[in-house]
Amino acid sequence: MTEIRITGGAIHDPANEVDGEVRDLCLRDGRIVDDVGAQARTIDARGMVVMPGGVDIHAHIAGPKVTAARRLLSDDRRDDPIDRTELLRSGTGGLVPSTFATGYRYSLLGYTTVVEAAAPPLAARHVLAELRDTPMIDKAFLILMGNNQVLFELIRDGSAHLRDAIAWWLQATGGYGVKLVNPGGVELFKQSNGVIESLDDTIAGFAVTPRQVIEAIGSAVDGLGLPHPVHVHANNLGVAGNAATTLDTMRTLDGRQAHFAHLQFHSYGGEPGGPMRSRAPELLEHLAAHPEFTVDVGQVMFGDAVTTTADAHVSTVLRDLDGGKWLNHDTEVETGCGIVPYTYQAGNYVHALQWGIGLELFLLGGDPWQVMLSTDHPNGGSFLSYPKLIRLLMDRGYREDQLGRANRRAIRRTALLDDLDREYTLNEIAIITRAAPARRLGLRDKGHLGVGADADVTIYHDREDREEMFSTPRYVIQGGELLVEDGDLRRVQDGLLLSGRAPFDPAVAEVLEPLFGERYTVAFDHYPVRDPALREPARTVEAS
Amino acid sequence: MTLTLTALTSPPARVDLSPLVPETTRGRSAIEVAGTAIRCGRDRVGVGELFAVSGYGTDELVLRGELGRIDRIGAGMRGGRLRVEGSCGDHVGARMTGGEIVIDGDAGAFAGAELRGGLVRIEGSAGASAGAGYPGTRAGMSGGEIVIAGDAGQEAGAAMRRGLVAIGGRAGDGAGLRMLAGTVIALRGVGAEAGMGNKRGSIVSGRPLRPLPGYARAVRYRPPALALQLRRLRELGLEVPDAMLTGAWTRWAGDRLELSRGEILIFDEEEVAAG
Ligand SMILES: [Zn+2]
Repeated sequence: MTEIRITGGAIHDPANEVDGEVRDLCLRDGRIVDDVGAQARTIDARGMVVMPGGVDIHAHIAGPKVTAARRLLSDDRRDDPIDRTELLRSGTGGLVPSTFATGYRYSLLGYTTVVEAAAPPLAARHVLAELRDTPMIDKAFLILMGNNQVLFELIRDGSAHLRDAIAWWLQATGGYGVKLVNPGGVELFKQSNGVIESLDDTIAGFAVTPRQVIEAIGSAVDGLGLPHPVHVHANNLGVAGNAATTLDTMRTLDGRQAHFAHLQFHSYGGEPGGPMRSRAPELLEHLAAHPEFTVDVGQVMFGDAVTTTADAHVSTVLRDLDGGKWLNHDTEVETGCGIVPYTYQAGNYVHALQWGIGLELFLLGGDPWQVMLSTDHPNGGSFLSYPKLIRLLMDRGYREDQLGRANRRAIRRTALLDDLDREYTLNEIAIITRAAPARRLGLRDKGHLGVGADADVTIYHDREDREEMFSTPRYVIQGGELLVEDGDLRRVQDGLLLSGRAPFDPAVAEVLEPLFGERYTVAFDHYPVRDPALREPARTVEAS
Repeated sequence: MTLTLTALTSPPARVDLSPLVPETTRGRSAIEVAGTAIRCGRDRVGVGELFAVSGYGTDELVLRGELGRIDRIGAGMRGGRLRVEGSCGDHVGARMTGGEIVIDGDAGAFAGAELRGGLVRIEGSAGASAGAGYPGTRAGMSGGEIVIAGDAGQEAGAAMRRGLVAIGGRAGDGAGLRMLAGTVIALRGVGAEAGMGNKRGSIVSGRPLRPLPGYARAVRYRPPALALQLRRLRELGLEVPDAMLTGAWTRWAGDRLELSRGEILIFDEEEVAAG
């Protein structure tokens, strides 16, 4: 295998408390090592910035809803065709790139690991098949468990088998972790077009409440010791006043490890239906007092996006705003899904406020280890907009210029005009885009450059224009192989599939089988994914 | 001498000729143009492998020979003149914003699809979806004119938002499907299910027609605006009978599923015969 010595670069490895130290970095057999032989290939990184490969903790890149979004966005994709070459497969780009293009473009951006954050377990075959067709990056997926009727029954009955059931589900699907999306609320919407007003509302037909679901599943995942804690998309996304729900959800999970997804969409003050305002500062205060919680921001970026969510109710609300293309879809027993193309406009009060709230979450002094970068791709914007977002965080002058273009009334309702002079350092960017997500995902070999870590390394020109710098890395190395040079893909390889696993009592099958028989149209025996081509190879991360 | 491309052989796969428009060939020699890469199926080939190139690039570009598998001629064109001596493949003039394309023969499917501006003239017939929006598009054609001397296939002007699709012959089924606005005129009549889901568009049929149930008969009159449009069609070279300029038309309002703000105008020969 290749040996590489990267010489003279400024190393930004916050997980190992290295902040810009100029020294060599050695790679062998896919790992970072102390030293390599004289025959090693040398990469001259003088004047460049060296970071671990990027880790995206929350994006939507595979599975039925992503496929549905691709189909719905034929008009967006046809403007961005990708030609086949000797090395690359053809495809289409746009907001939701085809599978191959997704792998290529993440790699070109210097990202080496991406988490698909919302996969219906019933569709695990589909998700795995697409992820196998998404080259370059290492990838994992989280399974949707917050509106599962079988789990509702176990929770209602106070079943001792809940933990085993969750571990069984991960084993059955190859998933990495557990996701809750609008817990209880999607089921309520599917039944009766209902919405959750309080975490203590009863989910009709099951005699359980969202609070019980959050509490039970959060505790079970915490107790199992899975590598990634419960990943929560709280109730009432996008609704004015939802910060109260978010805080209530956090209180419900007090003392247990949890990750809150796209917090920006859950940080609103005001009354439902009325004007929104920001409650980001309060949420940051709560986070500061609760080191057991982390969040990703879910920044919205002005321009085109497409909302792809398991939160089916949100899609019907957005559809009514826009009156354009829209899709809702049911996954039996487990979840819903909705797709609505959407454009965030700088002049629009709500959009500008959402943009401002995201920046507040980044800039108001939160601990970067707790507040990670995401746009909830493609919901708040494409992953291709990360470099622009990084520039907003690192370059105050640029930020103020952009602030000046956004709806004035909205920006006045944020803290962004209060002489907010914070500029992220390169190390802080390295934290929010790789070190913190890797740590939070329990990926010990990723997100850092210590000896023994995966040889996933991104090297950037140290350019003043941070957007340009982070858009086109000089080199991207993954698993010890040089994949990208100056914006060109040099080598194509399959990334790893990452699965999470916790031991469970196999007798749980006897509990689940009759419940499956009552609800699913799929036989219990056919549910688990066994196809070797889908399951292997995988790197399994065990519970601890 | 005008830059002229003559097809040498029938290509092994369909060809995307959109890189060659007057704007990109102007000022370039035949040799330079012959070296331009174009897509043929999944591969890229030099223009010179498929065409004999002569002359020098000006505001006009001429294509000759067997062009049935040559697609996207003049697609995205912004100005100048493009002449096709014969028949051509699909997507001719798609999404063009200005200039003029003249096709002496027939055009394939999606001629002038999602046109933004300019003029596409087809002396023969057009395939399906002339002036239509592509699948997945809410708003298709947004300006310009498409003139078809012969017949048009199915779904002419589907999803159009502005502009004119003028057909000297007959339009196939589904003309003006999901139209937002704009005008589709077929002097020899339109096929079944014209104007389904039409919001504010006008569909003009020179032959009798039983509109869909979503349309209600509104009035019989001599619409002055239509006479102006028909005169424009004459300017564009279509043969418009005098009777249509002076005679009465029946207006049907619809589609009721979309609040009945659109219309189908049907030439009323009986009235003329009586008058
Ligand atoms: Zn998401």
